[in-house]
Amino acid sequence: MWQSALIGLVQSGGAYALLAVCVILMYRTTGVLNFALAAIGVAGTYAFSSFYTSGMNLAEAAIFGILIGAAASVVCGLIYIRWFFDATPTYRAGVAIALLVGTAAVTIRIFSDQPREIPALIPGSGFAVDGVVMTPTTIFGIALAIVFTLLVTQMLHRTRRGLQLRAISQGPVASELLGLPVRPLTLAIWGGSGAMGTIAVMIISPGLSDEVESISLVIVPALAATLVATFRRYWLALISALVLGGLQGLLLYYQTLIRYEEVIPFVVVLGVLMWDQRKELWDEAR
Amino acid sequence: MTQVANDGSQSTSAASYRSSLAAGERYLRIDRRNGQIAALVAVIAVPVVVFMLGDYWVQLCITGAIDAIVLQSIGVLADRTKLFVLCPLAFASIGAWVVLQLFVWGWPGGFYFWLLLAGIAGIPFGLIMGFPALRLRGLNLAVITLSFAFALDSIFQVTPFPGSQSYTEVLTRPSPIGSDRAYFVFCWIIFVVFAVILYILDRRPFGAAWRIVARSERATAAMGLSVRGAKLGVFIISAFIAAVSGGLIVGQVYTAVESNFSPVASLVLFAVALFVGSGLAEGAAVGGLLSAFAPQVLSSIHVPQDFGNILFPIGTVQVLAAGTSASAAWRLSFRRMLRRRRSKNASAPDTTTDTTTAVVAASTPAATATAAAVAAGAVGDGAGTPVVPLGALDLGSAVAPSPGVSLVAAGPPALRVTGIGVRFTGVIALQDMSMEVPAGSVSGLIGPNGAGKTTLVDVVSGFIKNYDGTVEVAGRDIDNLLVHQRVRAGVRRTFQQERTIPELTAGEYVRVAARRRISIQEVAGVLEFIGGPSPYDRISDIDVGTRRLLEIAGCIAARPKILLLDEPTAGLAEADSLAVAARVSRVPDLFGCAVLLIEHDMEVVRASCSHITVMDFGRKLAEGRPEDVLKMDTVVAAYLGTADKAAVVER
Repeated sequence: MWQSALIGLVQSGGAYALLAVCVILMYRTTGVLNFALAAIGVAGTYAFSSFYTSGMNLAEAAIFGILIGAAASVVCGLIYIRWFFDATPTYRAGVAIALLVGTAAVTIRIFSDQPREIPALIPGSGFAVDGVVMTPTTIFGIALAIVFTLLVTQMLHRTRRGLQLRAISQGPVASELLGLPVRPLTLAIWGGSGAMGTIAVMIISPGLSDEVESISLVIVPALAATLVATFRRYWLALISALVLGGLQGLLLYYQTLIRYEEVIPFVVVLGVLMWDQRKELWDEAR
Repeated sequence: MTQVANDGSQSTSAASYRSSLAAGERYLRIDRRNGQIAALVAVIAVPVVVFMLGDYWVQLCITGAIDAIVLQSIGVLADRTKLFVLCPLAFASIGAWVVLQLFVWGWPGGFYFWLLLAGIAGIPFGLIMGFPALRLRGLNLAVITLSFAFALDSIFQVTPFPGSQSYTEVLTRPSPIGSDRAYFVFCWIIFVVFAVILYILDRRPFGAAWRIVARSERATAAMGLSVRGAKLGVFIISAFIAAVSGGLIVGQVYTAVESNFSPVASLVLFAVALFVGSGLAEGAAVGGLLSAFAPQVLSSIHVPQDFGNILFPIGTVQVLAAGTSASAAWRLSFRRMLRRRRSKNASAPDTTTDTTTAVVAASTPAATATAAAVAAGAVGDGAGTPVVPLGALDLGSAVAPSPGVSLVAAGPPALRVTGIGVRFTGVIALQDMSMEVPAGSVSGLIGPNGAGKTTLVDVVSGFIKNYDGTVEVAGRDIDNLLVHQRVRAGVRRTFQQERTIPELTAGEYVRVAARRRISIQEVAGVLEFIGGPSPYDRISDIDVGTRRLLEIAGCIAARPKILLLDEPTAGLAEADSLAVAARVSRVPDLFGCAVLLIEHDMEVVRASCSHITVMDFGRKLAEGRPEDVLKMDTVVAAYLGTADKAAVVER
């Protein structure tokens, strides 16, 4: 039974975790709950696949793919800076949903929605632990998620840039009045998250169905993990994402439930929100 | 009836208020009639046009009508309550499942009845989504609803819709709606029925509460409306509408496949809904047309069909950036166009002015002379034409002899708090606080910043639950009541930050706040009394100071037993503050409710209160008549930190 959980954790936990940590980073610094992050990642990943099949070597194709993901993300960031600099989080989320739809449509337009081979990011057959196969790509995914979380938390709390980013998250306009480079920093976050999102999709997509739109929805389990972490706690998001992957894997063990793995995020989110019901909430200001 | 002599300025302000009132009334009538005519024309013209189209296009029109219904269900939530629910097609898939399953089981009642059951079956799922939204807003809801769409989609991938794999027996529509054209008319009628129901609900407190919840839960509860009821109500309606649309899809294609209801399709419709503003019926109709026809139109001009999914999000982003949806903008320009045409025809001079600016100019506090003037104006002008609501105001029979003291018979105090203690983590906010507000009086509550005044108001109004001591209103213990129940028991309050609803007009706001049947004359009377805007002014066009007066008007119109005003004059100019003070001092007489006024401006306190209580560090420092209390050394010291008595007494 635990092997099944481990398989799930290894196969998708790392990618979920990378996405979840990026989503929190973006939410905490730019105020955008980025529903479109995986869709942006799909754009980069499809570019990677196209470059690779057209003869580029794996490393170069991956680097260009990641750059394209980052660039697409920066374009989305520019939209926010231009029109939604001081909008409410709900409005920003509305825009992110439109960006998900738009980015997926643009990706389909450029690369078509035909099934395509997405090469493993790191080639190699891997090894088995107690019957569970660990490929280099999946191990890389988990390791990267842990290192990235460590870097992000340290950066935010130990460096001057981190302090500036935390200030920006509280109020972009006020921070700009303090002379902080709000726009460049915001765009840097968008670019970095786009790159990380692309890597996450590259890691997970070899195991998924090939449609752009369905891969774009990999964001859902990641969002569930960020919700468990109350959109705030990076390590908790990392752990929740890995556990979500594990829970999905657990269904492998129960053969009849195997096809229902996509129900897991909803069940987790519902449980967490019901638990949150204990608290009474009024809008802050008196 | 009270008769107070009018001087020139009073009659000018009263007259300008009345002329703006009349203009607003006229425009409302014109807009309503034009709107009704336009709606009627559209309701009839659309089926007529569809009947002239070819079969293929009729099929597309059916799709458009069903999409329009889905968009209505999104609009109920996104437009009215600003709650983003990303799973409309998941609700629809439940409706589709129910219709197909009932068909497979051979249930009696036929398609029409199954459709109704489909809608009802959507409701529990709406409630599951709505339950987390009771206490949580925005982003959590977007995440859980998207997860739900994702989960349900996977379930339908594994478990196909009932009957969708057997081709032996196929659902058919009843004969009256058997042809495609008849089925379109059927879908169109359902769309129109939903539109009419939503239109009616919007104009009732139940529907208005949705917009208030969107703005502030505190404001909703403080008006005596149930936050829970408003939120669950909107989810029930939205899920019902969406689930019916799912049943209609089955009626159109006789089966259902999971790809009809994919999460991404939900998101596309959501983007369309924000773009067109599907909270308005015409927005939903145009959105349905767009989503059904855009692919065809694009391919007819040799643009790939999937460009629609690129164009809609661009529209959505543009709309969110502009802050107003397409349909709201159309409605506004439609009204302006018709008003202009009418003005030209009538060539009446007064119709050329824009009501909004005229009314706001006339109704800002600065434009009104003194409170006495306004109060007198509310009663009637010299010419004896009682345009505003005398009887409605139930003025009683006398003028208040001195500030804040009324002739209302004495009974138990309107408010009595005894031994109130509140403790936040590590901080004692209130300690053994006791005070009374006698019935029919205006009492002041003063004290330096942080003294605990607003905390006391929060305790009385129920926003703070964990406190020691007791709160009684008119002799009744209200400690166990929730916020909205306390409102119903007679407690009303305002907030330091205004919480009116920009989408409503001033009159609509007062009606919702009143929580009782109230005539437009009475609404206008209360607004004129307080020096507020015309009932026809849209709140989004009113300045913040006037909005705070509007909040007071809403509270007064509810005729509470005790009205708690939390710094109502903050941010107003001195003359305006005094005008408000004079009006507040007359509230007990005219409306029969006692007032507890929290105020920093000692002039206002002097002008309106018969009795004041001073707080400092969460305790009562002093109480008594204003002229005595304000001279006390301890009070002066509390305000200034040093005993610079002269300064305070001067103020």
